[in-house]
Amino acid sequence: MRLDQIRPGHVFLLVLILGATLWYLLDTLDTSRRLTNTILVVPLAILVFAAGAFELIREILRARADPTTLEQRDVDEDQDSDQTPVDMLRGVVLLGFTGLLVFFYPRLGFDLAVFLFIFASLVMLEPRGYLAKAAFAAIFTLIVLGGARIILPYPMPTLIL
Amino acid sequence: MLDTTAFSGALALLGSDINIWLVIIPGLMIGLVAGSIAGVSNTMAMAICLPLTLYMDFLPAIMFLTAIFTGGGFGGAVTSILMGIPGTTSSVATTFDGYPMARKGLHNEALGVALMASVVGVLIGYVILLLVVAPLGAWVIRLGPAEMLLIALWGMSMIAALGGNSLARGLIAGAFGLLLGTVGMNTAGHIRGTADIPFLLDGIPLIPAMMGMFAASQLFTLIGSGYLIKDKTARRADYGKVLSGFFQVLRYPVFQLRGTLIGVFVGAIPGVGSSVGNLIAYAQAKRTDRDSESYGKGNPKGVMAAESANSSSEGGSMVTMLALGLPGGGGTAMLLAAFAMHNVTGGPSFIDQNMDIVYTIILGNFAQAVLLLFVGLGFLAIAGNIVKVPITWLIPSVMVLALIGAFAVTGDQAGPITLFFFAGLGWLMKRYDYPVAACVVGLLLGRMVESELIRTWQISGGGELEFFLNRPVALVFAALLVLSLLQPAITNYLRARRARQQD
Repeated sequence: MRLDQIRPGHVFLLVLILGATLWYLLDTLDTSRRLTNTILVVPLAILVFAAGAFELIREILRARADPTTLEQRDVDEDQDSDQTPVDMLRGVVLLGFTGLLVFFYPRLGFDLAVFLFIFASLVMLEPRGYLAKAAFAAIFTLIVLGGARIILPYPMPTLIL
Repeated sequence: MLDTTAFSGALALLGSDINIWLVIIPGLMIGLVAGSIAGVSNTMAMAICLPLTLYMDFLPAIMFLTAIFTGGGFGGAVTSILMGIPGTTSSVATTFDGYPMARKGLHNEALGVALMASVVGVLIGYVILLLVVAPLGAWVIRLGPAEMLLIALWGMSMIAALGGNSLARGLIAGAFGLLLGTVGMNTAGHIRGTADIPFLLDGIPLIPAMMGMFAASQLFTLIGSGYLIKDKTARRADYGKVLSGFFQVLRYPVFQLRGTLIGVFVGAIPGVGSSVGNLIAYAQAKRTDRDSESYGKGNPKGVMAAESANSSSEGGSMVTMLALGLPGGGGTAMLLAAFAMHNVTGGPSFIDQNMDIVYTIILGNFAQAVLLLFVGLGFLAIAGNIVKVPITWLIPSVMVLALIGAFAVTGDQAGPITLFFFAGLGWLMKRYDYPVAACVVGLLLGRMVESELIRTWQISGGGELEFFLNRPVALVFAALLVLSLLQPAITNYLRARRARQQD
């Protein structure tokens, strides 16, 4: 088995989906085994397990295959995107920034959190022109959050605005 | 079918008060802007503007709100096409071909197709409403869980159409989406998958989840690209190309008409509405087109089918509201609230005694549809410039707008948190060629499928065949579903037979 042919992201996704499905199925059966509770969940879970097992086996076989005999489609999948590994890493970081914004805006205030998110994201995606990026982040936050506070009927926690 | 006396009365009413006409353009503009901001739907815009209508007379108030409704129907297409993020559930199918068209530099054509399809869809939807509002209302009231289940299954057949290249991955995506759609308390009172999180009792918030999956899967894959459109010369709003989009709609009248009819009849069903109609119309268009392989890669007929169904469902949902006094969805619920504010009650007696007012509303909406063409063109001149913005600046900005939109839907942290988790899931799925759209469709339909399945099972006494045999409408729906699934095979067989005969 060639470990460099395993796609850890794909395995992670499969484990995530199958794990979530298993947890949901057990929770459903734990709630009640009556047909009114299981009529759709059980068949769908079985379908996910079957298809997921097929994909996992395929991934393992791929790891054991001679790279010269890998199906063309597998090769095409990996080369489909124009993104470099650095772009992928930037995506992960951006997702991380999004998580920080989502979980910390109640403490920081929506305005400060959004400003920091935009500034940090802009700098991460293109590390130059810090002053212009800071100005954009400030103006964007002012306009968007100011408008949202006027339009939306819910209280938005903010620090400054 | 047409009450000529009431029709004449409607024309007189339309000419009696200039305020009926003055509110249309502001309403369309509000709807366009609201619909184009992901998460801020036309329903929300109608809710925000509802208190303003207290100071208006009844007809101007209804014209104002229906104009917002009409504008929002097209507004959702703008963000679907330009950003690949559907702002509402009724714009999901527009994304499938609209966004690929934009990426190819055909955003002007896509927006033109969407605008014209919306205008024609609204017009035909209201013509049908004009002719058959009362009989259609009587038909709608006879629909039960069995019929609703078949509609949901018809929508689910969309998942197969979106399966992508790998059957296993398509099945995983669709089935997992359906499972996610069943989280929460089901119609029989069983609570599953909430992990004691209160906001999950009502299920996963659909719009934040949908925005997260599409936003991440589209936006994050753009990192490293300079602009949305590679070709610099195509990065502008071009009215000539928008007009060419208009003519494309006129070149394919069958696709337009079929999408419109599906939108009207599915839109008339309470609780189902445009969110399922646009999916069914898209799936039908793909199944019946000779060039079905091009769907999902930028086929304008896909945009046409989705937008025509989305817009014509407005007319369909008005049937339920006017004829039965029942809200078909969020928009018509706002309209009924406006009715109540002016001491008017919709329903059979309203139609019997005030047919002239019903016709006034319908004729006013004809004018709205025509004006949408011009107001929409003006809006596109501004919105189309988004393709000039570098990706580096666009991605974080759009993510923030999506997060605020998610917050706007739930009013608390639940929306943004949902968006975040589904953004991660959507990005991973896109990365490894799992059809994100199939998962989203499953998420949208999961609750409905389970609810109607349970109700049908219970009412039929455990799935007794006799129950279905005594429901002719359900049999007709089942026949339509089977025919629509078999249609590609039948068409191919007939073509092959014709080719053999010619040889």
